[in-house]
Amino acid sequence: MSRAGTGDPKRLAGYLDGPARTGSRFTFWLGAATLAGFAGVAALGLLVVPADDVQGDTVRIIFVHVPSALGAYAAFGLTALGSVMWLWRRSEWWDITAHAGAEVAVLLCGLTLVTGMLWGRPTWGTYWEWGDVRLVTTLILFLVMVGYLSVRALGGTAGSVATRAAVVGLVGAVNIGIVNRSVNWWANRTLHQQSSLTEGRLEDLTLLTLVLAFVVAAMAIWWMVMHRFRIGWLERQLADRDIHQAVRARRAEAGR
Amino acid sequence: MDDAPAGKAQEATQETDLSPLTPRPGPRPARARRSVAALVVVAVAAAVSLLVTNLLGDASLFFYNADEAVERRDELAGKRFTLQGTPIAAPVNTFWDDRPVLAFGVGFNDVVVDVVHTGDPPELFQPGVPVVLEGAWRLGPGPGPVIADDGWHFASDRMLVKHDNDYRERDNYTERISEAEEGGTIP
Repeated sequence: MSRAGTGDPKRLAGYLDGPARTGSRFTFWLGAATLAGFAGVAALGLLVVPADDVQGDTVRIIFVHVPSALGAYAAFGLTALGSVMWLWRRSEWWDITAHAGAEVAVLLCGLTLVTGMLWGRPTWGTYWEWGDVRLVTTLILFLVMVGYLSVRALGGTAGSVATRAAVVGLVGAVNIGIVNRSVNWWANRTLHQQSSLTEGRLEDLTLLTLVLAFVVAAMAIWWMVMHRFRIGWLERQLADRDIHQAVRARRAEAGR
Repeated sequence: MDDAPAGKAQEATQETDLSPLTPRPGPRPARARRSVAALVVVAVAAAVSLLVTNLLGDASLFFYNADEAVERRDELAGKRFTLQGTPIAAPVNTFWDDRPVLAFGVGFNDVVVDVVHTGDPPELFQPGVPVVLEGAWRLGPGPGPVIADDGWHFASDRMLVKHDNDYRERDNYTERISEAEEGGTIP
């Protein structure tokens, strides 16, 4: 699939069914609102929310860590949904959505692991524990997401790539539930605490800021998925254009 | 040779560029990209298998709560394991076999274990915040305060803090009380 020229809307405009860009007025305002939201969360999280009684200022990392983790679940959940829809309906739209979700999920899951390690050192006394169920299942989820994208890059027809990836996406998504429930199922095999949010263990401003961070993370995910979806859509159209052009050229050479 | 097809081809040439089609310059040649992707897939599959095997296979990764460790002392004696409990008082800095150690007690479900820890504790180590300790049972009391008084202590050389899910905002209550005390003093 050719990627060359995707940044040249004028050159492509004649070949495509729709606009040769990934943005729209809606995504512009969504992006602007997301940036404003990030600024708001940063101001609240760094300047307004009091330090934690035990953890001190380290607590502030939860405003990035927890939304990243839930965002990674949601984005890879979208991949699973897209995979089901591809296998069921053979819908190209859903396959592109699944791909877009996985790329965003990799980013967020990576961020979850990094922020978790940065929090773990001053809190637990270690960056990483290889036997810790929560940590290792999250790493496995990250690797599965990377594997999903690698499987897509193995090549083949668009249909075979989509089917292969859909199977990996569906099998991998089972791990979301395992990661999420691991702190309850194997409480004695992880340093990670159980959910503070669902058990109402967060206070006032910390809770408010975290909820705001969830909203902003959801907006950021929406923005990224929309752009990545449109890139995927343009790539498909470019591939189709290349095929049609090649067929026309060959027919012309053969005089038919 | 028939001229008609050649004529058609010439006509088509004017509309379509028939110069030899060369692959578009991409980030990498397609075959190389596929090989890298295949290597990544194999590496990911191997890493996932290794991690799952390690996770399922290593029983020493299980944290025994203090009450369970006491209950299963005969079974665990002589073995290295991980004990989980909450420090019940400030640790005492002392010496054991000429080495600096921390002596304290940890509790779980109303059962207390005396601990003698060698090495630096994590920054967050304090009474009331649960810890997990790697070590083994040792017969005889430790050098510090004897709380459990059962003739045993747990000798640990690795400590991690297991923070619970309670988040409490540090308010200015204590600070305000001391300010009020100072402000309320009659000179």
